[in-house]
Amino acid sequence: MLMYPLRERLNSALFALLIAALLVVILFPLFWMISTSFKEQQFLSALPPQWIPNPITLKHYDNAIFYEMDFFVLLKNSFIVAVGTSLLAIFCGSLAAYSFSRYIIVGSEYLLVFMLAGQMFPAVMMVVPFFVILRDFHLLDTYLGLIIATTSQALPFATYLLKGFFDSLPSDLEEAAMIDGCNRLKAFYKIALPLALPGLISTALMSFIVAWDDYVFALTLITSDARRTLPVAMVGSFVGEFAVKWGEMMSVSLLMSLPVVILFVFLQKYLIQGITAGAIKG
Amino acid sequence: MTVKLKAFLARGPVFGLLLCSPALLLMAFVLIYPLLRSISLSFQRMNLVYPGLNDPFVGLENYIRLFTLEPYFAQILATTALFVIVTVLCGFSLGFMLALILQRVRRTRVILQALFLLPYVLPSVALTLLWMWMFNPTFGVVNYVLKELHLIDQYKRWFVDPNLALVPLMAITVWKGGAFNMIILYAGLQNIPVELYEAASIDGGSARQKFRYVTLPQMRPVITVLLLLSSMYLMQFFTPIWILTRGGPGFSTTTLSIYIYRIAFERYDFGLASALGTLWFLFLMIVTFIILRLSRRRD
Repeated sequence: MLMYPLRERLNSALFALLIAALLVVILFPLFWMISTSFKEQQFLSALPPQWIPNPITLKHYDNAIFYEMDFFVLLKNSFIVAVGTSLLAIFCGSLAAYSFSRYIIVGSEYLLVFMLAGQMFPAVMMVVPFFVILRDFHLLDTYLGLIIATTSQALPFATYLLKGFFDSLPSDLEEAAMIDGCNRLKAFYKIALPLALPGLISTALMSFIVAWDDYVFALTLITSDARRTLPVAMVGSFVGEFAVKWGEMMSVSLLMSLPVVILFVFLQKYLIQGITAGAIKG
Repeated sequence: MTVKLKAFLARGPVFGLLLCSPALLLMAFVLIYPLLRSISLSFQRMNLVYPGLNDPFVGLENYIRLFTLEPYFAQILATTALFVIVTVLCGFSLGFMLALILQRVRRTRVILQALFLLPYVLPSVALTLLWMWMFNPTFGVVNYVLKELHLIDQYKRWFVDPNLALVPLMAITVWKGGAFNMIILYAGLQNIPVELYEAASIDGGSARQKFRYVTLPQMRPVITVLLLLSSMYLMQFFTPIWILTRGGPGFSTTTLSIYIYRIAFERYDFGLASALGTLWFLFLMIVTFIILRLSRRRD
């Protein structure tokens, strides 16, 4: 009688230990990013490393933002591309999702698979024809060209997620509105769209995360400094330098991660749905 | 007939198609058109450095060059295979462990899931630069910790040594991608009927037996699809490798995606890059077909 709970307690202690060990391995790099970004320059090269910065300094942030790079221009460019991608993805995505959910019965499975198939093809493989096509259309080195390219990564799962939202809304309200004289388009944007607003917002924010993460399209399809995005500029100004400014590099990395962390806290549930959707149905 | 047609039109298929036309047009522009363009480019000689030699149709020249005149092609396929196999298996094991943990905990599930997922959702470039710092040969924390644990006897120059350069790349890939496996496997675990576990308990099955005879067989379709999917994702893994090593030193970390990029944007040989891209596309089509067949069977 006495043995059993003891063994059980031992088991759960081991289990807790395993979780703790995994958390340390998974989260230590992120802790190290934060720690490095607030550490005095002379302690960056200390061995053994200074684990917790003491004293805390904001010098790296100051340097990175005001001297190392045109931080605000880059931030603006990244925002334009990410917001543009979200808007394009939810505009096309909500129309298509509503149509898949309410109207197209025959073949909608195939159309959806066709859209999700877009995610399967490597960005690197697509970037070569994209480069040629955008050059032909004179869209190389423009925000619009880059936005179209990143939308190819965001639109498929945006459509899939939004279809889920519309499927969960009853169509009674739209039918009632149509009986009262609304046409189909009005029923869509006056009734269904406002009801799906939470879905629209979370899908837009997830598209934002995808576009914010993009490196290969921005690297290739943008050629002028004026329109360069943050990730490409970070690599350009820190990697390959003779003496890498680690503190500055980590502070910009942290700043770049912050919007994603904030969005992630609010969107965890939808994000997981998005990941599963892209994988299972694709 | 007319009644049927009327009912059909009342459902509004034309309106439906009209609604999804922006999305379909956009996808056609960013998916079908580039693929066709890629195929047509693969039969052209197109080099941005020597535009005078460009030729709108050279038959199979690019394909022949790929297999006969590219001395590193075989090595690159081998590197890609090694990278994909190791990262898929390690990422899968890590993901499975995390998924089983999530299934067992109750109160802390949401917070644990969020913490496990952080590396997966944070921007690739930020994380890559972070690992570059951690693997720094002189001041990097990885060398320090490994030395203190007596796992290495001297500090390693991770990205300079051709025999070592793949190791940090694989580490960051597994670290970042493990949670993707976790999400898919956890979703799969939720779909196993509880009755099966209850039946196994009544028959006196131990936890290990339950895992072996209930969990694994039930998870088999999910696992197959997941392994295929992550192999395809990891074949195209680009950003961290490009930033950290650019495929070097030599060709030691050049995977297929790095190779295609180098051909296109270092040599500007768009014809050759497109030939490789087209072959890759055909390969992906076959794997996609297999995945669709497998998930159809599961439904």
